Amino acid sequence: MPDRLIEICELTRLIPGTDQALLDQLNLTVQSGDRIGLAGASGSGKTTLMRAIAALDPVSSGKLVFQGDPVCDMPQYRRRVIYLHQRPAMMAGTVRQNLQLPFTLTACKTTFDESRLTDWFEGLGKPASILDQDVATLSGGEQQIVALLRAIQLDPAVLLLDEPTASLDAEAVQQFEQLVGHWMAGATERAFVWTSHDSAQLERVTGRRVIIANGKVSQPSVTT
Amino acid sequence: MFALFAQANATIALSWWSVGVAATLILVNAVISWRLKLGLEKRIVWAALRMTVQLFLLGLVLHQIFALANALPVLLLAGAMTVIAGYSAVRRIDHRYDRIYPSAIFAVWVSSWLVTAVTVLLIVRPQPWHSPHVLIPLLGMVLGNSLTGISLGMDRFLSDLQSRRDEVEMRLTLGATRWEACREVFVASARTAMIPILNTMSVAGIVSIPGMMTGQLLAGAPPIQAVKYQIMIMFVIAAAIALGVMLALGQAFYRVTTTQHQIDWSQIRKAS
Repeated sequence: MPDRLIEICELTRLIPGTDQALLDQLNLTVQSGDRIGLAGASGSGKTTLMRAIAALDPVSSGKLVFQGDPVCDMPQYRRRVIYLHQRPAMMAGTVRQNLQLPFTLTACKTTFDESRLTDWFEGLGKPASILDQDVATLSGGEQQIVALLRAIQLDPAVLLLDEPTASLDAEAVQQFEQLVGHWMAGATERAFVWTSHDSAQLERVTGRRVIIANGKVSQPSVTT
Repeated sequence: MFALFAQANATIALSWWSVGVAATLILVNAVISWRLKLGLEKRIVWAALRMTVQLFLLGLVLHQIFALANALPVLLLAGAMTVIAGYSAVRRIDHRYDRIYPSAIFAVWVSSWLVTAVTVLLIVRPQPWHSPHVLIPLLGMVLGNSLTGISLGMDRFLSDLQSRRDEVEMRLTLGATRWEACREVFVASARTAMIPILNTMSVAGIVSIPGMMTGQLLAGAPPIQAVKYQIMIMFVIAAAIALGVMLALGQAFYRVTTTQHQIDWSQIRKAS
């Protein structure tokens, strides 16, 4: 029986100042080993749900449980359950400075391991000198790869990938998928939720499908 | 020339006729606007009228209050000036959040009154302490500068949070506390608010003779006395701005973030 990593119970998020629900008493369980493809029409609430799992927005009601305990230390939780934006957000500076950023935060108890990153970059066919490159000179695909590496170097339990390859070229898409697969294979207590408009990609990289419509999800706890 | 020097130690009374002559100078603005089609004619007339009426009313109020030996009317006037300053600070801000008016008024109130109280009670020490000819101009100068700092700081903070939203959220997604996520924006906003007074201090006496000193010289005060007052007011204003900006930014930060280390984006909106 796989471990439950995240349990979302009766989560409701209203449009601020209205009674209209973006998420309506939604229940969802993410278990270790899950490779969830989150599908739904445009505007159905995929991003809202992903952001809710990362607890990035205030919600009206509901419970968020991580590895059996209600989430109370949000920075620690977010270090373990990382949300990746569709557009990679970089701070001005070099690739190294961006990769070091999480280690400057109080929630991070580990130290920056440059050799591990160099190995990953070399595995993708990129020289170690990329670390000294200004992020502004990177392509969109390279920036998204850096954003993914910045996340997975923290050994998160869950990755929330919100259309991560939507604006990437084919080579970057392949590298991104390869890295996520590599990260998943690194430990059993891992899972990801991936949204994509590319159904072929969802078929390729995910194991089970969760569909969101009208603020609710269907097949919330079926695993493959 | 000699006549001018001879009058240097007394206020030169200005007749209404003289003020009227000065008022005709607004025609310079009006003619430029008309010839260059700036479309500012109405605004020029409106601003000139507002300024004249507002200052005239202020003069009448001050005339009445100066005649009373009572602290209450002085404090009431000071309170009204403070609320108007807080309100004016928000009016200059493009991005706002719910209840920003009480935030700004609180920041202006606490910073200006605290610093003015220290100035009046410990530095200038007029007898009695509520002497309106000391308290009201001092507070007025502090309020005017404090509101500028607060509006600059709050506007930068709220607009930068919006424009740097992706970066701020990226930090949160990697485990930043709300303070760690907003710190850079907060610091940049505080700098924006404080730099004008530092610039003013740096060029004081070189580029222009500052306001308080000008007033004192026109009133016939010896230059060294006027300089002492000007130096004092510069330090007082700088302290009030620093305190006011911290109070305003602190409130804005706590208002738009949550204890769950989230940014409540629905709170921030463009002023309509």
